[in-house]
Amino acid sequence: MNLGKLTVRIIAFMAGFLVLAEILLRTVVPACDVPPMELNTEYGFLNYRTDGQRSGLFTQGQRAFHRSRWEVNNDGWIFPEDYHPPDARHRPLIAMFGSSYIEGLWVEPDENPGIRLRENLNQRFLVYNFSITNSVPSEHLQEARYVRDTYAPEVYLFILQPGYLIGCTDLDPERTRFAVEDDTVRVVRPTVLQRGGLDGVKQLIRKSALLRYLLWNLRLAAALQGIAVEDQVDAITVRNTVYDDSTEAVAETVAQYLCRQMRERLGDNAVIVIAHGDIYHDTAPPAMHPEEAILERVAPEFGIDTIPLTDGFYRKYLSDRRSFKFDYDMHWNAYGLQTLADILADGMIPILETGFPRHPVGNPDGDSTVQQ
Amino acid sequence: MLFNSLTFLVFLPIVFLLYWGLGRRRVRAQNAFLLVASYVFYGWWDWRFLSLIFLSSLVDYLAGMGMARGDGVSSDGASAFASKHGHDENRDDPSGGESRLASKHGHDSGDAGASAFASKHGHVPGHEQNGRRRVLLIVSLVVNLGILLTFKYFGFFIDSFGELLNAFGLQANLPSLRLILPVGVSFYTFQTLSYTIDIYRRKIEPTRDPVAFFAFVSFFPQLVAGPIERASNLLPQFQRQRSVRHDDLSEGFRQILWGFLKKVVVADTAAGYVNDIFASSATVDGLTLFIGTFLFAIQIYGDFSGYSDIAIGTARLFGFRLMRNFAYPYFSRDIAEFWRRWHISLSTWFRDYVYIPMGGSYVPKGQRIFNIMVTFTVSGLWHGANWTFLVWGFLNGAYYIPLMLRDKHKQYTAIPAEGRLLPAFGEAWRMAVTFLITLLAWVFFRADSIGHAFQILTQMATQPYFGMEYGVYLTPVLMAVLLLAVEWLQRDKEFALQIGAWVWPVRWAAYYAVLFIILFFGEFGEREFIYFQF
Repeated sequence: MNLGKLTVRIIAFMAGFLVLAEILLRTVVPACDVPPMELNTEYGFLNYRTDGQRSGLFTQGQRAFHRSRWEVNNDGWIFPEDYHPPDARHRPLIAMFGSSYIEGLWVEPDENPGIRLRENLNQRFLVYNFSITNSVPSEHLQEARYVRDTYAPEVYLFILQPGYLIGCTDLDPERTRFAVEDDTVRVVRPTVLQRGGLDGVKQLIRKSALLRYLLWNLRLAAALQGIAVEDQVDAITVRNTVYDDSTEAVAETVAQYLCRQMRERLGDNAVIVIAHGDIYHDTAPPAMHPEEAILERVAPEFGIDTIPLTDGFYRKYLSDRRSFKFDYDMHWNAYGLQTLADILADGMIPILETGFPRHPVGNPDGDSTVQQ
Repeated sequence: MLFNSLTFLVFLPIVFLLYWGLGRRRVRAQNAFLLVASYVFYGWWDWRFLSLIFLSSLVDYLAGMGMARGDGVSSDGASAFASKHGHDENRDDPSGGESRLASKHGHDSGDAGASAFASKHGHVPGHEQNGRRRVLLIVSLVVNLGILLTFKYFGFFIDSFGELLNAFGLQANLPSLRLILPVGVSFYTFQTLSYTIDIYRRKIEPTRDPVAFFAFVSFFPQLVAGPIERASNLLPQFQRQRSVRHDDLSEGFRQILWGFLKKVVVADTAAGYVNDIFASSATVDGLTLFIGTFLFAIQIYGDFSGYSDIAIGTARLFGFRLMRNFAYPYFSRDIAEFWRRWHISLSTWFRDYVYIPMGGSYVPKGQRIFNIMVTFTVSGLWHGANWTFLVWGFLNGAYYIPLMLRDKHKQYTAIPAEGRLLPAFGEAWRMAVTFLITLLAWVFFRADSIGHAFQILTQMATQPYFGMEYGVYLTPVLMAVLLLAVEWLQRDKEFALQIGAWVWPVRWAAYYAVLFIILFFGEFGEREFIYFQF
């Protein structure tokens, strides 16, 4: 056989492989699908597009052993219900902000922590989840401004994990970040503005089950960069940061700026809560992370309530000894998110009972009309 | 660079296209390109250790040239050698070529070979020349073995000597040297040593082409984990024109594919379980330890033979034929057959360069036993600077001796159960016994220390069954059984995916099946090949 024939055969073989792969990766082992994002240029944050695919399937691992549906709502957030403006609501609103851990990545829509928190509060409050993947507080602030203008929530709940304050200073051209110099903070807006516009390569990736499989199930991109899954966690939460005097000074500056901006931008009357901490899998009591200590000290100066999370996870772990995260992935599983909702409810009920006496969370039979 | 890395998946097609793009008539350019590519391949791991390969190549090249000058061999000796030995015949029958080579390297080596060579050249070397040749050989041995001893064994010998002194109640401040073990050092030093030894024995003639020689020493497909090639097989291939042949390409791809399956699916899946079981050997029962040892046997086979398949297949893509390194060793009916089927390039190396020079089989019985034990023990030590490898080698020697004494060490040379689907009971029994005694030896090979090995064996014997959860081992055991079943069905082939004779729809279905098995069941954590550490 000459080389020309061989080349034709190789091409035919590869074409057959691609067709077979597309069939298998859409049926037997469905490739992971993720919603496309776009930049909100007015406010400077990323969320999901609403003009295309609004639902899909998250799958994990090379045999797609874990599968969960995702739904993008009318406003571009992963949430099983649409969000409504203030005049269409009959209950006060809690807007929660966080990263992919809080977003409900890899869990079923009804396992979203926003849904679970609402249940824990006896449905007396609406809970909208504005968390999004890779987001840190510098973006939460932008999202909160948007949420204030669009939904006017009564309560703002920010969920920050250790490392997120320093993470705000980790400049990223696609994200709003803080540049800290001599105790001053400068907001650095995203410079890559076309993220939302799906170019040819991105469209191909979205359409090809094989490419999605290689990228998201086999994590090819991370593998190409030589990044292990555990290292990806560190990259996101900046847990590798060594906290010395200078690092803590930066974190303190960010915390001061963040809390001041929250209070000034969201209004004096807004109830603002910062929940801080992380999941915990040990029988020895956890030590408080330096960033958490800073938040505990700074937030009250601006009338911001705090809810420590780590201790709650620790107590739950002592009683159940179950993992709060996926084995394969660093994200929190349904059990972890339910525990988060439980800890948040325990921390928020006293705050809400004080701030909203006509919405007695602890008494489901009480008055639940909107407080005007 | 690992074969099972994304870097290699990018590296290979680029090198392949550029290599053939140079044109098949430009052999020297192709060799120079292969040399650069091989140095990049090795330097990707640690470029500093390229200096060792360079040093080893340079010393042996010069030693070869020096020996030739002593004999008055003409300057074009290498090409004359290449054509004279007609290695083209090996292209179609590598196993036949090997056996011919083996017999050629057998007992006619030494003086008989030397005089034949001398008479062929019409030149009888004088005393002075022989002395010069011996000095050059010693230089080559000192440099190559010096590299090996320094980087691989120095720490081990010092530690062992220190422990010995301690045992006698003596304290000594011995120097401590902890060096990184250069990947593949045991392989390329042995390969290049065979070149100078063969020239010294006048079995081959040296090459004057430094590029071809340096490329031969560092040829990337087999540089870091073999097969340990002989100059007589590989070097002539660097000196003749190579062409893109359909058979080479298709067979090469098939062998690479099969190698990947064995490595990333079978071996790497087993590896996780094996590591867990051996790490917790004190707390698990005997059956679990047995499963762990069985999985290790499959792991090391899948890992190393998988590497060899990828290496041989890759070499074929470039028009080279490497020697076969594995021939379904777990279907062996006695330990002698096992050693003719396991790591063939190393076992024949030790036969030709250690066992036979010691006198081989043409010595009194006592001496033969000694020779066998030394050869096996040294081959054990070749695997690593640890007493466990030494015991592993010793044990295999001990298995071999009864066969040799009864002159039964060559009774199984044919394919097991040839022409039949299943073996006869007696044959199956012998295979099972051979496999079991091999498992026993693998315990020492895998254990952290001699004490650890004995603890595992004691545990197997005294606490055989706790009623633990064995279901967790179903996946790797099933994979192992499937691998052995497929290889059994294809045992008359050089490798299990040698299916070129099948009709194309069935063949393609088999390729697709292998590809999707790799995709869905492979471990993509770039787990290193076990033999990289040797």
